[in-house]
Amino acid sequence: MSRVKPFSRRDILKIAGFTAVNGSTLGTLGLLQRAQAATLHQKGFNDYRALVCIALGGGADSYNMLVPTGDNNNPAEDYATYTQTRQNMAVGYDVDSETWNPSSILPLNNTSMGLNPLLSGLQGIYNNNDLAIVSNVGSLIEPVTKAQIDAGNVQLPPQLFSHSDQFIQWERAYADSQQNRGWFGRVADLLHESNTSQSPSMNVSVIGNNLLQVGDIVQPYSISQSGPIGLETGWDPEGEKLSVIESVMATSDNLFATEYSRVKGRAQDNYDLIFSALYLDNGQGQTESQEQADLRVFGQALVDSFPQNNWLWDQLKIVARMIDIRDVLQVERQTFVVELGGWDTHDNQNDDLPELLQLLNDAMTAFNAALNHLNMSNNVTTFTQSEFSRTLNSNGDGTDHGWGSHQIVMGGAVQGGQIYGELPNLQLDGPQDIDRGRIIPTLGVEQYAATLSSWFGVPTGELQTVFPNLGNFDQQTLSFLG
Amino acid sequence: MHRWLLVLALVATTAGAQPSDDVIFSASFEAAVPNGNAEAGAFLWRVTYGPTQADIDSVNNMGFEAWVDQQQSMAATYHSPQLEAFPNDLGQGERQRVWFNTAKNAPDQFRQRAAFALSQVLVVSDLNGELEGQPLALTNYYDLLVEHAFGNYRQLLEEVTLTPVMGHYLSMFSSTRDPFLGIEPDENYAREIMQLFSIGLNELNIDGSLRTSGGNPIPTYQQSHIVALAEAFTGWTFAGADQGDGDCEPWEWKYAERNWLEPMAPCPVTNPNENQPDDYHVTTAKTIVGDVVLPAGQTPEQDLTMALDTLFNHPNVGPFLARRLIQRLVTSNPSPAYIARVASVFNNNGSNVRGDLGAVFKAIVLDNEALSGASNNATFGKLREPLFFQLHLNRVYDARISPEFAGNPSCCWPGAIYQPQQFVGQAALRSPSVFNFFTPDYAQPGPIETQGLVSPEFQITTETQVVRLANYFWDTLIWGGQYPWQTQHELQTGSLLALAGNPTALVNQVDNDLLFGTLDNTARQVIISRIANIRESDAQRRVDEALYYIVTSPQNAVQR
Repeated sequence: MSRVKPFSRRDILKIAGFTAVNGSTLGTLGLLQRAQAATLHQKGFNDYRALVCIALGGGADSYNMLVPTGDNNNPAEDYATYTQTRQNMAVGYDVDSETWNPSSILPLNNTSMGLNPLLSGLQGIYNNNDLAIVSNVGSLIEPVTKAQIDAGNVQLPPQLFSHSDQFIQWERAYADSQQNRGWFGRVADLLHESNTSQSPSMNVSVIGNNLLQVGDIVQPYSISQSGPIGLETGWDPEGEKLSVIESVMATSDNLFATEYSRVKGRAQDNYDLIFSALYLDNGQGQTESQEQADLRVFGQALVDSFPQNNWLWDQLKIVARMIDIRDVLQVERQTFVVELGGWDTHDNQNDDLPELLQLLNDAMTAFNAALNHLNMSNNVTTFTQSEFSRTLNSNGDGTDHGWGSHQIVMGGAVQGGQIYGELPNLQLDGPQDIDRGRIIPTLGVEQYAATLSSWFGVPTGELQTVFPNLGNFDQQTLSFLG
Repeated sequence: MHRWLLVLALVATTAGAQPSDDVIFSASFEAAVPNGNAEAGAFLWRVTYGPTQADIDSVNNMGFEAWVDQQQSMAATYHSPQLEAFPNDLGQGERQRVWFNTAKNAPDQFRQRAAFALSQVLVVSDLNGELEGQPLALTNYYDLLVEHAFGNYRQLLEEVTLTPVMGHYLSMFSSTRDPFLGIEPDENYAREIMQLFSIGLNELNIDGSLRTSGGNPIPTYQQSHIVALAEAFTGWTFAGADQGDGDCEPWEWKYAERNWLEPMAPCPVTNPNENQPDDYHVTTAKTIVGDVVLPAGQTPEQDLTMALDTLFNHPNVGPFLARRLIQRLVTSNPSPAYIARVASVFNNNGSNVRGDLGAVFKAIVLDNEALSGASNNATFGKLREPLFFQLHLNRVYDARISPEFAGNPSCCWPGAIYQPQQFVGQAALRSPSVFNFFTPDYAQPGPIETQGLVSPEFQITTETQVVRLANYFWDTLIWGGQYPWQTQHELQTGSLLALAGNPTALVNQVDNDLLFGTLDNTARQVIISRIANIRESDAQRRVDEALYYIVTSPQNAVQR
């Protein structure tokens, strides 16, 4: 990763969507604010929409999520081709007999591709047309072919196959930029003024700091799995102790100390508003416990169906709770980030990957049910991202870093029950394989993100300002969101 | 002239170091002896887990360099013997407790700080299915860092590479090629040893800046170099895996004899059959980074030696490590000249030895930029790592294990010392990934980023985490009234209790103890007023709140 680079003038112009600017003495913020005033004529949304990003950190092996079941010699959909390539990593491999059998793979409507047997909840949502799969997405600057890569006459993202770099490239959706800005941040810079309230931030993180939600103006606001956390001051009816804390905080005389106090202040700013909306009086003069609040919001039957000991679900549940109090926050557009790490399965893949897939399936299925219960399914689009998929072939008991990957999009607005994009040829040394089954993506992260942004409210004319490389691709948005 | 300065001058002329002589000699420090407690304290924040009055007296008496020399010559305090002394049922919580107690009590503070800094470069974590159940192996790994903290990086790199802990964490363990099964060597360690442990992604100048070609960074290696290095690292498994017949069967290769405390070893095949490769080591020629060729037919040991020599001698290692270690000990944003001075010492310690970590750490903490940085530069310093707040407090007030727990070392409710990440968001050898708790390049959006600066520790400093840390101190100091329900430690605050009748004296004393009198004066007055409002008969409460406000103050959050 590189050091922070100050904005170049060109970058500012790109973000702002200006083709010409007079007066180079304007500061960065001034330029942006002017740009926004110019580009956003309408203020205010008449509906609520949220984007929820599930980050699968480590590089999720999506070739074992979406699995060929065909028997048709089509190298993208043929199970025999898949097993020949994946060997002991293939879904349906039996270690004792050293044979392969696709019968456990879950069928999907209208395709010879199926889902991993552990993704039964997602299968149901797919076949109910509320879930789609976007095939072979990856970090790109422009579309590339194997021949172009071999010839070296095409732009490639820097540091391909490195975790940190590819992860950040997914967050930026702008692979050759060095800016510490993510696409949720750039979208929020453009749209946040249309929210009724500017505080708390429209970008809410359940995973702490992340690049995806960082904009020039809008920064992520972190909450815990139980919502915001406020400073404890014991019995303090006059706020005397809190005021001592705040006075001490204000005495920072150093850049880092001031920033520390700023973060602490942000935590306090919205604590009362959010916490008191998330946790009501339980009728006995006490604040609800988390369990009581969950029961009130979701009802007993749904709560009983929620997964236990599921770290991803714990995060998605507070997202659902935050969406539930949207009217209190007066935010019509929100982004959320949650994560499930541990996908870097160089080792023990056949033990570890099933556990992760089960967690993912259970959490996403519960989230879908929770949003249906809140009547918010059509207003919330949930999607996965991961820095890369993995090598198709095995390193013995795991797989190494790949490139293109399949991703999942879920929600009532999704034109579900379909796979978007081209399914990759799974042959080793085939036309899309760089080596070992590192598959060249056929869709750029920009196309995936632009489709989500467009649904979220970014005007078509602004998509290329948010995603400066989008113009390198023929199809700017895909059709998975209507 | 101090000995190590002479070293630097030699390096500049003999090793072709890039900075000018002016830059080199600006390293000379005028203040060989601290100018008062605040200067001694600032120095000690970098080289200990929190200075006690005794530490301050030492530095005041000895001067900086003699103090460093004395620390570097002390015997190392190892963690494993302490863990092994626990009665039974060892878990990672006991490992954390040993770590905490060592950090608090060990006399070789500088070595322990250096080891902790190294543990954030050569990262392994118990948040890993294989390692979670191996606390002693983790402690053994940590002791390698303690042992070699002032040793040589080449040797440390090799020993780390061959630990079963690293072997499992980055999966070099039992990596091989098996054409019959379509299995390729695991690339994990090959990639990360280059990206994170030695040379980094792009070529560097000695001052840490990027070398460029046509305005673009120059990648240090290509994917083909990773594949080749992965081949070089094949053929290693647990020591003693072969059960005695001299032929390493597949079940022995992967599963037998889980010897977690010995270095990994090759396991030769003498009687190959169709279920295994002829050799677990890939013996073809390999072209690794720098287009160095490892010839065909070498043993696993020969390939490893050549590969590690190649990485170790790469010109990036000095500036790569220098920046990271300076960031852990001194400041988030060292000047290029500072990095260059430290990197030069890495390249040559003055006796033509490359990789002398003792010399490197000494150069880091005695550099003029460290010793006078705060007075010369408003952006000097760094946010403290979360673990340091409690340790500092416990050292200053010499926290003792409460009597009711003392005779029963692994009893009781697991508190912040067993599970520190739950309370303060950080624990030794427990980062979420090999990328450590935070990256060296994280720039907090806002004023820090706008000034072109980085702030690694802010990556884990969120709204929730800042409040959680403050509440941890509220709970332990006030709600618990120092009752050890979380820490199982009691602060020895008798000297403060004696001052409780005089709020001004009390607050000044806590300020002197923790901040060497640097507490902001407005903050001081606000805290004094509040303390005066607590009834005088509640002396303990006065002490506890005074501690709370100062421990959670912005001054105490930042090392400078």
